[in-house]
Amino acid sequence: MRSKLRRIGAAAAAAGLGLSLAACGGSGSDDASGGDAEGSKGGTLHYLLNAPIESADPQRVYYGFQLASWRRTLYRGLVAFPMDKDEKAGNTPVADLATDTGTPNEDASSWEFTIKDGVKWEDGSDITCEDFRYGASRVFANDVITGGPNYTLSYLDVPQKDGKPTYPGPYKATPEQQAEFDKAIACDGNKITYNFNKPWADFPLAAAGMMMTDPYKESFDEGPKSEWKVLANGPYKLEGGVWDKNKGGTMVRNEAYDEKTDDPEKLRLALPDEIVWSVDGSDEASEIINQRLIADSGDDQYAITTGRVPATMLQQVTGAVEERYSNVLSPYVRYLVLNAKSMTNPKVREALKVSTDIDSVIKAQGGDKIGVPAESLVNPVTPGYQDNPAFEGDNAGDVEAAKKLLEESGEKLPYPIQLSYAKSPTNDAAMGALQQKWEAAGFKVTLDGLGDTYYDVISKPDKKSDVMLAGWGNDWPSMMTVMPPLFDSRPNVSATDCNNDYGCYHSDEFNKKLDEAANASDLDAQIKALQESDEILGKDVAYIPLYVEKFNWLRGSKVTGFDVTPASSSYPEIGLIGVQN
Amino acid sequence: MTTPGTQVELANPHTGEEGATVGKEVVSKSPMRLAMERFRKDTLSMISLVVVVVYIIAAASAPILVAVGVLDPFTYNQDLLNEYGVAAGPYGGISAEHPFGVEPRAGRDSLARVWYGISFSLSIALVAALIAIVIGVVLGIVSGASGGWVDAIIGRIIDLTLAFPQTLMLLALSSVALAFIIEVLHVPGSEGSPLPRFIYVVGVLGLFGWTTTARLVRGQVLTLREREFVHAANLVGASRMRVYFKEILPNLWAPILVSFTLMMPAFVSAEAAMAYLNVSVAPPTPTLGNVLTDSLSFVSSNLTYFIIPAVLIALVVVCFNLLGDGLRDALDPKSGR
Repeated sequence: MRSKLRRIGAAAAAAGLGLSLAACGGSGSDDASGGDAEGSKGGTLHYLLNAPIESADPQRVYYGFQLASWRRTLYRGLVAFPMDKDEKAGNTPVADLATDTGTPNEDASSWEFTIKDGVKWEDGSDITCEDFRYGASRVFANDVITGGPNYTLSYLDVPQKDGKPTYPGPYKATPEQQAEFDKAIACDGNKITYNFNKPWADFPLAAAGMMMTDPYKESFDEGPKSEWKVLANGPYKLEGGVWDKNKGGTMVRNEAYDEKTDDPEKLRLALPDEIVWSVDGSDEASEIINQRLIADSGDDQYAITTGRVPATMLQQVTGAVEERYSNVLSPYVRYLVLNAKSMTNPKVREALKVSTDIDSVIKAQGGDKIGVPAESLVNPVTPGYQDNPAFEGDNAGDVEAAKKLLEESGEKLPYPIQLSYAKSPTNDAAMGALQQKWEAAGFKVTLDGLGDTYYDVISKPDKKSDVMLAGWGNDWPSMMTVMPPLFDSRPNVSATDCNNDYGCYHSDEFNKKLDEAANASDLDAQIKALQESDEILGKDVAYIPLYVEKFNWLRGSKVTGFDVTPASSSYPEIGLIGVQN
Repeated sequence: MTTPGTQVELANPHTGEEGATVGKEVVSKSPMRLAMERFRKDTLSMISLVVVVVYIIAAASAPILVAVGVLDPFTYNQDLLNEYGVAAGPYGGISAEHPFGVEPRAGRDSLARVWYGISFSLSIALVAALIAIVIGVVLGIVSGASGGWVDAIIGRIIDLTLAFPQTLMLLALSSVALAFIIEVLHVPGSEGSPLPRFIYVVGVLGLFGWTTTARLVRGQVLTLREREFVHAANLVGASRMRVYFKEILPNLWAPILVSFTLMMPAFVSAEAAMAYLNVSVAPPTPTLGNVLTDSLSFVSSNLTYFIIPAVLIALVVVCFNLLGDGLRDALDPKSGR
């Protein structure tokens, strides 16, 4: 999903409002009904968005649902995740614009791809290696191309100063700087080679899940003005070529797209002739859209949505409506972070952990259709997932065991803690549930519900919070996008900011494991090191996992093939969906 | 300030009391008594009075009942909820133990929540109304009795307060104001105490709610200040303070009482609006506004939970308003509605 999960915290905390920012993580689905009827080509699909998207420019896109669904419609990549429901297959990239999934050198610090012949932009021109290089170079111009993932900045082998690349992007680069960049991404005919300054074993996963390495046509680029312009290379193009932020847009068939260069079965069936995207930016968008879908009249019969069914509406989903409903695991995990600066006594941390009442939290959030207990910070569908041994067992909170631990801790009781969270009625109720059990065990809990600036507050090293509620989903299906961004003290912690390491956690042993993982040249070794790093976090009680969020989807009655896949981040898999004619 | 003629009146101070010299068969009634009689005849006002008294008793008793454990507005009963986190059982889970049902998500007792909520809502309204009345009366008297440039300045202050974009500023300034209350005024807020927000809400309502009272009082004072007893007090050299607060103020209690009674319901509903905008006393401390706001998302799944606080707010607002109207009619029968 998104490394800058600041927004997810705010958005998803508001109980399923707002687009989540999932990118490419995995998902498992309980009862996502496979096909209502086998889809056939033709017809118009309506996609109701419950919030505006951030940009239509591939190098700026970061919303998970948008990355996944535009990969199926407008923007093809070097490689892409297949629409496979199996977690392993669904999380393994297949070739898209490239002929294969890439050839790494020995230590995976250099990757080579060959671009297919006959792949074209919607204007009919060929997609060249230079287009790929130009697209990747735009990410470096963070003053012009704002937003979007920027992992490539730390990986691509360009000269660096103070740990930051000196290359300023294509708009301001001197010829020398440009020449240096052109060495980092080398073009030889239709062969493209990415040179990194360190091993990047899961680069194909990143290239499939994000759009930072997608091609971009230089002559089409207008810098900041390109934010809403679309030059497609997928089976659809955007009518008019410009996305309306507050209204949406209509996707129609792209005549320049040649199905033969693609793998429709695996990557995109592209069934509807037209996909009409309409944005409802209001606060109650999810309620309004889902009421419309329950009513199921007119065009809404052909509609799917990004607005999850609010927990308070789930009771209305019965009878005939239930046949148009899916309840699926999402890639997001909610967890508590302990402040390493104030919660220093290991017995106290342990006591807090054992008395955490996950069942009540889930009930307060809306029941088992909203979440299932988590046993680790990592989502269960991520490759290499294992239950963290530190968090196994009882989910209802063991007050007696916690009492004993607190007595042994030698601290003055009741032990005062401040619990901070992004304020919403559901979070108020859920955190109140935690408070009850913790206070029974011997803590004195102060609830500290915070507004929009929540993540800015808890990033500060001198905050008063002892325990903080947070949420995370991986940027691509690898634990590399979970533990390192959240708990590696080196990039996160400074004197004024702890960034995503909200607890300002620091452990040399843990950091060493991360280095081991980062320098691993094959995925198995990387996974093992990361599993061990999670065990260290569990042992130190750096975090307490709460629950894996579930998504609730409604759709119109004439929609066919509705499903979610690991690649779609548990949002509707638009590559499979069609409509009855 | 002395005018010709005051000397004569001073020499004959009892000329005002005509009723005392009337014949025996006519029962003499003080203006107070007349007003009471008029009020008693007004059934609607009497009903409102009873309801308001019941509310006040409820508000006063709630903290005691919570302290001794009869009411429990904080304990979770999630075992009473169904799989969707909403009260199991019909009508919001009404039972002998929970006569108003239980709230969704947490399962806390609704009766205890609204009862305790009445206590908070009414004390917010009461304290805010007292602040507004004190400011309004003092400025109204000073403005009306002094006249001249003092009157002009106070008049402009009133205009300014009325022109102030309150709602916008309140929302924008709430965090700054709360930080000020906690850090500069040293009100304990870090222990999760509702006090800082209580002070904020009361302050906001009080500091912006006094203008109508001030204008009303000023108008009354303009007529009073030319009355003989005021001139007399001035003539014998009474201090300004004495004239304002010993001579003029006692003659204003009727409009003040009416204005106070009409201010209460306005502040109860203003608190509810502030709760909706997230600037009132924070949950889990219940106020009527908090409970109502929380219930809004459950209108479709648990109507009982919404109806209870909605009806309670509506009832107290209507009854206080009717009471205020009744009092005005009784105390000042000549004034039109």
